[in-house]
Amino acid sequence: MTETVLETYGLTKYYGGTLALDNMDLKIPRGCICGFVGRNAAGKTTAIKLMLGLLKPTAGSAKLLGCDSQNLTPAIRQRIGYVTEGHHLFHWMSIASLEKFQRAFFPKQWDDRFFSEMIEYFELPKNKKIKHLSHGQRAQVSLALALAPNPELLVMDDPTLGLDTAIRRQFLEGMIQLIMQQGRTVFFSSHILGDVERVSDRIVVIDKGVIRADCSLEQFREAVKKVKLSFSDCPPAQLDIEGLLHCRRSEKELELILIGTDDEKIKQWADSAAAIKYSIVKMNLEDQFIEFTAPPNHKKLFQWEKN
Amino acid sequence: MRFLALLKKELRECLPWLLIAAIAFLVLGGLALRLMIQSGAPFRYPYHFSPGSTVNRYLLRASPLLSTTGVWLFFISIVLGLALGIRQFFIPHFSRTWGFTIHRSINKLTILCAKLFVAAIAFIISLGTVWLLIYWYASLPEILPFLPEPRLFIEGWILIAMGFTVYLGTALAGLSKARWYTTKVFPLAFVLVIIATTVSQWKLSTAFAVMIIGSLILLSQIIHTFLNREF
Amino acid sequence: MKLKRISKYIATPAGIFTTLLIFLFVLVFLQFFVTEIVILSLYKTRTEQSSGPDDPNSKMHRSAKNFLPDGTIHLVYVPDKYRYADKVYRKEQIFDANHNLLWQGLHKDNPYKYLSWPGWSRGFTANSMKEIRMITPMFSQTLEIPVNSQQRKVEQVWRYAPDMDIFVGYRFKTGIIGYAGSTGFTKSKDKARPFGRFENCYAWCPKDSFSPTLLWQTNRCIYQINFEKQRVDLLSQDHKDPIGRIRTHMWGHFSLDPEQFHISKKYRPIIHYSTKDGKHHLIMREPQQKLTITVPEDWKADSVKLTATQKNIFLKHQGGDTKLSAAPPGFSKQWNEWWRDYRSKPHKRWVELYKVDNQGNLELLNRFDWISPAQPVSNTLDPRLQIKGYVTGASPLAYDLAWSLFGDKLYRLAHQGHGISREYAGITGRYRPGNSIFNWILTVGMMGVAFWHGFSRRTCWGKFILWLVLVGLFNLAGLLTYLALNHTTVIKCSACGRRRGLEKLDCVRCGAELPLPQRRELDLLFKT
Repeated sequence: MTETVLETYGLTKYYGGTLALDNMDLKIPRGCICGFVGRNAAGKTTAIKLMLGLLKPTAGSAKLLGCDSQNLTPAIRQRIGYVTEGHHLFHWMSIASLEKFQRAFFPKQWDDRFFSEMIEYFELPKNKKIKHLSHGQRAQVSLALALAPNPELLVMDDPTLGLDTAIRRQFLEGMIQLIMQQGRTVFFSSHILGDVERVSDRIVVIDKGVIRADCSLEQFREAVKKVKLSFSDCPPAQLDIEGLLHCRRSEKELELILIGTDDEKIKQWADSAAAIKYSIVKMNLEDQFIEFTAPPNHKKLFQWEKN
Repeated sequence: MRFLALLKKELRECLPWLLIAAIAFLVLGGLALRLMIQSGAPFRYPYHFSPGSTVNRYLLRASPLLSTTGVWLFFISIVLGLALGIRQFFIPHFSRTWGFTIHRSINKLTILCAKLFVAAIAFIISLGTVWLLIYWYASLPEILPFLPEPRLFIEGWILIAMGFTVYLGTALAGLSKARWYTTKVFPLAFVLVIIATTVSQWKLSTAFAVMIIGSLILLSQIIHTFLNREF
Repeated sequence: MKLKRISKYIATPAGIFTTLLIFLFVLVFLQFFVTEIVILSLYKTRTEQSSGPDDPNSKMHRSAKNFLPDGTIHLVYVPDKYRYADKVYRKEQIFDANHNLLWQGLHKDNPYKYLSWPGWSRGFTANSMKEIRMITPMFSQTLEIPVNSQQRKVEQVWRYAPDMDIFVGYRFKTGIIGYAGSTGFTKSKDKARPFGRFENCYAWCPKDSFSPTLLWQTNRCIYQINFEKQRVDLLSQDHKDPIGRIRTHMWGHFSLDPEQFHISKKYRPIIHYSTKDGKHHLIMREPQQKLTITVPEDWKADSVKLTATQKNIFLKHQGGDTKLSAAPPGFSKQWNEWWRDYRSKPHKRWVELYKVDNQGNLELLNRFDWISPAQPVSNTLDPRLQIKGYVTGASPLAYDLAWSLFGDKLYRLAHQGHGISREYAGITGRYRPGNSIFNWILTVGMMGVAFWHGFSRRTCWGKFILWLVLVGLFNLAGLLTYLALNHTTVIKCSACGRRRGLEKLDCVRCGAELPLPQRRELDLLFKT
């Protein structure tokens, strides 16, 4: 049985009267790279902070490496790397002094060579102060600080926020370095589905505080489908196809978002609905995520008109 | 080693304020003393004493020659308290570094203790040392017309302790999750009450007791708030 | 975990105390501010049912009873409009004991020379000493007595050292020149003895000197300290009972004012003080003489005045039929009622003049009796007091409870204390809530608000009841403290639809847990 490194039980958080996280149940096994995705204000940062004991839950609990998140011991915290949202560090410190500071808390685990190599790789001068670094450079320092102690569990809150493509690529490669070491678990939140697609083997989708998907990336990719159907006349009013999430209609066309429906069943229904043409649209993870989390009767903001 | 790292970090953050306070007090307090010496008080003739007259009772009061130095000590102590409190408890909130600070492989209480310890040391080193220096200088035989009372030395420490109480009040205000227009400033108002009550004491023991009790009230709330606060 | 719990049990009451204290101060300030603004527009003077100023009884009561050296009494009446005028412009009417008008005119033209009585020495009291020793940013102060030459140069400074209770003398460049204690001036610190518990100090410059001389009163002795001549004279010593306030007359006073000059020619310098055993003591000069006078036990010390001319020693005693010592402690309801009752009735009053012989025996020269008219206090309270009584921080219950325990101490502190503790005590006395039904309705109302607010938020009944009690005791301040420290969120319960707090997992009304999220059938929740 695979060991669970991160688990939550009914984790709920209210900010005032607003429900930010609603009964989140999660179990992340060891060795998993889990992408935690959601729209703005979905509850990602709240969930991560609750897991790390930085916030108090209204209800429920969380455990990291078998320890209750509200009472994480120093020994457990030593095994967890955390990259904060926005990469806020002590701006008056230089990279070298920040390294010294961080190293003091990981006397046995700190990998000097790894940190130096990472900093060299990112081409960052060690004597430069944090306040003189760009956002991307700070993100790199942040990652290096989090990875150098060889954490068992790496928790990152939107680590690539605000980074350009090149820096993001470097950042991800750094992450892959860690992943390649056995037994390491990564739990990160992101808006960039491309990054999630590159590195994750598991995806957790949160929408308005509620977990909507918690499965392997493959299962998610296979399950979410977009089908376009054309009709000679008006499309049928009743849509009794299995797994229908929502649909969009135009005069003679129908666009269906289906979850977990077989290709065979789609074909059968298209035939029964007398569609003259149908196609399963190829979507990348980003498109799948958007469709999966779109509210019902969702209308597009911009409608391009063809001349 | 971890605690030392925290101490170094806190000390480094507070160092500019420490130095400014020490230098400001040395210069301003010392200058005030120097000017008092040069003015020749109290050996200037007080013109309100004339033969056959009744002397108004308040004319016999005399402020010590270190009085202006004491005023500077008081104000610099207050400002240092505010500055340290803001630096240690407000700035991390605005710069969003609480998350990074709290996620250390060390007890939360130890993080708080490092801050409080550094602040206490700051007061002792920056103001306490300079006050000791000034008082020692004033006590040298040929500097002042007469020696300052030993009690003044302790009163100086009480003024320094007032600054530390202001620091505790600022710390609690910084940690409080209340809104500014509600009870967030109450710790500072409470500090005002403590200072007003201390200043009206004439017994040193009572003054110390008031400061200690007030500080303990604030300290208990700081500890509780820090341990239970959301970051 | 343990530390969190321990800190909670200390920090929570500390937080409540801090918040409550600040709210009480804020309320007092607002009360003062609002009350004074309201008074500006609504001010009503208190009406007193008393005889008008022209009434003979009232005139007699309000007249000064002055004695001539032969014992004759005159009643000196100053009409209202001249009451506060400068004595140069003050018009007076002089009557004899039978209400016959003897003379009227300007005060300065008054042909009669009445006996002059010593006043309380407005010296430097023990409270004044405490005030200057307060630990302020300018450090504590002390007393300093300069010794000035005839050329108006400061030659020496003698500074009082309260911790040693002696004076230390300094010369400008020489440093310490000596010490002054109860046994006199000495060069050795060890030989200087402390004076004793300081009570009062009165200073003047002798007529041939530019340097102050002190009259130094301790609880048992009176000293005269001349720093210029370096002499400490023990004027009165070692009384078993502490010395009360001292009155001085012409002691160390020299003035070019004609009236004062005349007095200084006619009277002997005198110090008059009383001790707790009821005896009155005189220290006189020109010639030197000490006298102890025993008076009847029922005579209050304040009601006796003594003076000494070149020829005789006189004693004046004022008395009445009601002993004010019978009054209940001030600030209490009982005192208010007692005072109203006292003022609503006429009372017998009298003044007596005695001659005192060299053995301290009294010979009655004259006595004058009169009736002080009733001066009932209106039942209508000053609107200022009414407003204060309604909106004050503490409830009648809390206030009366506190006063029954600490009332005497607070009253004494408000009248005899010093510094900020006096202010605190005064505030507590000033803002006493009225014990009317309206106040009780207010208190219950505030408890009701707290109940409504807290019922759905409660986590346990014990805490909830404690908060209600706090609100009941401290009225508005308690309610504000409760609201400030208990701002937990409420939501609508999904089961019963009523308000419920989030501190507890179960709804306090129906017991339902927080609702589970609405899952879609199509949620991809696969346990891997």
